[in-house]
Amino acid sequence: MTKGNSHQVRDSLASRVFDALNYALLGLLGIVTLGPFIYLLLGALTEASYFRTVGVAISPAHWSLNSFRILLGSASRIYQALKVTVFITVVGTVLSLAVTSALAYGISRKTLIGRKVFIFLIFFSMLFGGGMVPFYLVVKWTGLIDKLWSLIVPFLVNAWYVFIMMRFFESLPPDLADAAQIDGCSGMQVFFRIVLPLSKPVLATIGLFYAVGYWNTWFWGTIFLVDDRLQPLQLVLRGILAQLLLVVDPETAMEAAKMDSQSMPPMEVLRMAAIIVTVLPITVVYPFLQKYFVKGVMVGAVKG
Amino acid sequence: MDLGSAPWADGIQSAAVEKDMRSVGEGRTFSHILRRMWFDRYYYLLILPGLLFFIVYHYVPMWGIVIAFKDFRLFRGISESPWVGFEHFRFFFESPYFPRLMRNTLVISGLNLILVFPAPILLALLLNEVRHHKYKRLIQTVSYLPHFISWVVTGGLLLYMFSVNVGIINLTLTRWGLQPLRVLGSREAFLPLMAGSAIWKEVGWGAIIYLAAIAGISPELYEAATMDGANRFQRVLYVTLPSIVPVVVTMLILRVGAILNVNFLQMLILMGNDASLYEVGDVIDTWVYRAAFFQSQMSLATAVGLFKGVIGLILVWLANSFANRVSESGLW
Repeated sequence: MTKGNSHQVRDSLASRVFDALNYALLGLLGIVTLGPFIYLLLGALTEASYFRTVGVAISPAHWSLNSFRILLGSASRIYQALKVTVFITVVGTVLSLAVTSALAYGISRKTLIGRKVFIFLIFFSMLFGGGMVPFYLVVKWTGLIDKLWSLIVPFLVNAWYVFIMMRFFESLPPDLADAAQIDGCSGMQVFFRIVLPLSKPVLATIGLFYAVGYWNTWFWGTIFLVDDRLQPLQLVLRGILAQLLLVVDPETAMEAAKMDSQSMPPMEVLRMAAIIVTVLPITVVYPFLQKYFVKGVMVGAVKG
Repeated sequence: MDLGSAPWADGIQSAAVEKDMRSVGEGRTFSHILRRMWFDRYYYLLILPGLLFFIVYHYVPMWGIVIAFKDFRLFRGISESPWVGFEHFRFFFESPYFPRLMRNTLVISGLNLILVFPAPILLALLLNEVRHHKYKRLIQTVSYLPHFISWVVTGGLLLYMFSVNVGIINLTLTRWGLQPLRVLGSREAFLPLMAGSAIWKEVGWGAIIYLAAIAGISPELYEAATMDGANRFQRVLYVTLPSIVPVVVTMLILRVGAILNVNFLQMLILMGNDASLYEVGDVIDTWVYRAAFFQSQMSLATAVGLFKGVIGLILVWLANSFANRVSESGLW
């Protein structure tokens, strides 16, 4: 039931017209949102000769998975970049969750000496910073230049997420901790054995946010990374789309995939497939985690 | 039971621990403080990595701000670089870049404020009027997909929509014998493209907050309104809208406080390497990026970044005070 409409007995004409328009408008939003993705998917699936002669294929009769076979074959740059991004995402998310939740739990302890100072430090970092150059210098100084870790460590903790978690921990009933302590658990055991398991929703939400951030990272790669092979997926994709990079070396790819030059997908199809590969994981995952992050946004944004 | 490691070795009644702690803290002597800190030592251990992170990657860089007042070169380090005072600031304000960058930054940010900011509110209101629960859910879920993709991918989507060579719109147009639309790489289309893509990307996600606020409205208010004879549209006007005003005001004021901040990654992608677009799209942040890392003007870049950071800080502080004065809805 939507808010405020539960007592409608008879709809006025204006009301029904509005409904029709509203449904149409929202439907249009859905189409405009999904449309480009579907177009790219169809393009990526289109069989080589059909694409060259006609264009994007709507009917499955003209589909082929060749573009994905090439893209995920070892000869392709995407394959290398995918490995890089998966590493960054998995390692980064795990570490970020660990450090963030530990920090949040620590400062959620109301009797901690210095708590206000810590909270202020974290909060102020959201308002002001040294800027790009000093940040770069510190990363350089901590020895991370041209290493994959440069895309993880300097971005390990997000202040906003710390506060979301902190508020969550503060909202847990204290009796829980008390009961555990009566049973002989130390403060740390309370954290690991009781609080963390209870925090699965928050951890899932913040974990998703971090994961998406790591998966999408590319910008600082242009500054911190020198070696081509360390480039994350998004950065390679950017190069491909700007036509600065070749997705695959055609000769090697054809050989590796045992394809002849007829069925070898044209560059455009490969580029579309590259985009699809980049978006696929999150597209598949996010609908299932909806209920978590909708709550998370609410906790984070609605004050107090 | 290992009482030795339990933090309240003096009692199993832990319900009283917090109160005990507070009474211990009644005395604010140094030894009391140390005792409490030792008591909480594992908590400090927990927060250590996170705090270390903030210090190293957020506060140590603040030290590097001195570069803005020196002639810094990468090969010689900070202490070796000579002091130049406000030279970089003067150079920047007098350069031909300054008016253009300020203008672009403010125009784009203003456009964001006027168009991109209200869109999620509107969407939330519209979604709320949908009675068919499944449809509402479906549209909502679809609408925040773009939030999760990067601007690189968004740029790719824009390419395959609007490009003259490979974009579906122009391909269809030329197939029908019509003139293609020059959208990408066009200075005239830049601002609409920027606003449109920003809305496309964030409208669904932004609506979540407002939908949450709407969901929090007490049904009694609606009942009272209905009993007073309010029709559907009047209920929205007189109940829904006023109830979400606090949330809107908070978000709005913070947005205004961040007026010099523009979606940096979006600008990079939309401008690409096309220098002809700098005229309309180059904002302070993108200029700083190029100056620092492609023209080795690190001191200048830092100075400009500092200028923006300080102004931003003042604005946010003003905005927050204003929010507090107006409706108690500031951030702190």
